[in-house]
Amino acid sequence: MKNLKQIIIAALLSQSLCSTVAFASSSYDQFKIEVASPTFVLPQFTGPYTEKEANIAPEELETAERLKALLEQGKKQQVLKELEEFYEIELSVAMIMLKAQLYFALEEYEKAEQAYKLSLQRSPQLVRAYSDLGQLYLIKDEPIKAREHFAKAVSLGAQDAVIYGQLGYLNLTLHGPYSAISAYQKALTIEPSQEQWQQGLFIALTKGGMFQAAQSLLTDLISKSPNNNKLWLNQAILNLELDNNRAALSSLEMAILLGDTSENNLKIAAQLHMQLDSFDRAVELISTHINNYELELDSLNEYLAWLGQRGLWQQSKKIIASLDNKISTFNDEKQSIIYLHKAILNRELSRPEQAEQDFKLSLKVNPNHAKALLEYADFLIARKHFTHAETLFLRAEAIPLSTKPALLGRAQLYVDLQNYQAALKIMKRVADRFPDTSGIDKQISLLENILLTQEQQRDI
Amino acid sequence: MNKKLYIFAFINIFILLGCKTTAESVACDTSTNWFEVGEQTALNGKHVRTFEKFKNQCGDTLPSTAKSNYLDGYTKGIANYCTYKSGFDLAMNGLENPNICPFEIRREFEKGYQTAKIARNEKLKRAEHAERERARRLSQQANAPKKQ
Repeated sequence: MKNLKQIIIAALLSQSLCSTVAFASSSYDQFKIEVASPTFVLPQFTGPYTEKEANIAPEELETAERLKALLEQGKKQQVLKELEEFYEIELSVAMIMLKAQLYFALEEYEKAEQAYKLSLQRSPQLVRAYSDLGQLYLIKDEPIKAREHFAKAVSLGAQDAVIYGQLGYLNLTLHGPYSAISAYQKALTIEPSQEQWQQGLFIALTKGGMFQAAQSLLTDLISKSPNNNKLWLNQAILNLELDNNRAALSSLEMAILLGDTSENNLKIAAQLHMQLDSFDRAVELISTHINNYELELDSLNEYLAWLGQRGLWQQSKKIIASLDNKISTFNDEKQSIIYLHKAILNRELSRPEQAEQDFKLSLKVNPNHAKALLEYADFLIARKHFTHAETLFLRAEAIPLSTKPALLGRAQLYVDLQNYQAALKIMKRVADRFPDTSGIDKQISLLENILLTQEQQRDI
Repeated sequence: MNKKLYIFAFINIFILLGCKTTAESVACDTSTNWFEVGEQTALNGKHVRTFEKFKNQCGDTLPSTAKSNYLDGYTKGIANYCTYKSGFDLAMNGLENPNICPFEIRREFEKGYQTAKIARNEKLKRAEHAERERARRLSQQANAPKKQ
């Protein structure tokens, strides 16, 4: 359990982005608790004449009033058309800024960029142009340029929460948590109730290992908004960081109860329940997951593997039974996997006839299902149907994914049948094709010794 | 006499060549440096829309990059043109303000222009006054009784 927690925390810390925090278990693939990402927001069109830094020329006032009226009617294209009739040098910087904003709003990003740059060429101190360009570069997925422009806006005296928030986001993404904390704090100072900045600061604090500060922030936020499931997800992350799986699970359950519908989080809650031996709830969550989301084979395999390892065959049966009525809606690959699980379950529940039937169904819908071929072959060996098992191994050998285990399985089959010569031949093929196979030389030498001994005995 | 005519013609040709880019016509082939045309247009206090005349003149033969190069040059030229001195000189010569300076850099130009305009008006007033005085003195002299 301790090892598991270490892996979970290691995975958490290894996440490069703050949007999700991951954890993994020793026997599962990596999972991610899904939380709201610190994001950037699109700038709203704020109207043409609110800039503090750029003023309209007196001779433009009349035009400006007319354009303002058009904008109020939502006629952005018409305003843009009028502005485009001017040579840019004829327009004041304020009007060029308006043009840039209109291009931005109409998603003509290249033109918007040019117009902003032109504004800056003529008024290099224009804070608004820097901040808008920062937003533009964020949208264009050029975070380094975006950061530069937001930083410039701040250095020129911008006191806008959005700018600080974006800087926080970019610093977190580009330079790690410590450079983000201050920016998020400033954004929060200006807009204390803005959820994005709260979330950003929380993630930055968590990633920076400042768990106490993160916990204080979270406690405060939860006390103000106890029904916000995102906050409970954050609490779950923090509890995992603080090595408290049980509390993490409680928080995760609270988030689910409050409406978190993330598929991944359901999966993680189920796994944590299994870790903590609350199997009934685990199975309940697994069923919710399987019945409410598109069946993901990896998850199904993981769930059943976990339950199988614990010998919880009845629980496995319940999960597989919940798929019975919709099995025909799945594609051949999924159907084959479900039949294979049913076969393994029946095998474990000592119902060999039903198991065999399911093995056959699995291979009928997907004749190249490597795992089914191998499992079925093992099943047949146990029932001493060696010839059929050999055929299945031969089929599995043709599939690259299962060539090696199939060869080894066939070699084992020959050993069981005391056909050491045939087993040796196969093992040499394994050594030839997969020279890194652990202990292969030893096995070959063992077989050679057996054969030598047999020969010597014959000679005597 | 012939020699004088030649010199006069030569000077005229020289002036015309020198004014290649400042006159409102240009060569429409690739030899024209549109950046320079733009810059000179601004430095001569002409409106940016002078380009329209070039455009009409050249029609389809106008190079595709002409406008952007012209505007780059004009932007550079106008920054150099819109100074206190330019405004001052313009007004001192009694010329009208072409109102081509962009809003953010027009203040100095306007200041120079207004200062010179006031100074020029004063000068004109003084000249008028001096002229009137001279006329009055002449009139007085004319009307004065002749000494016996």
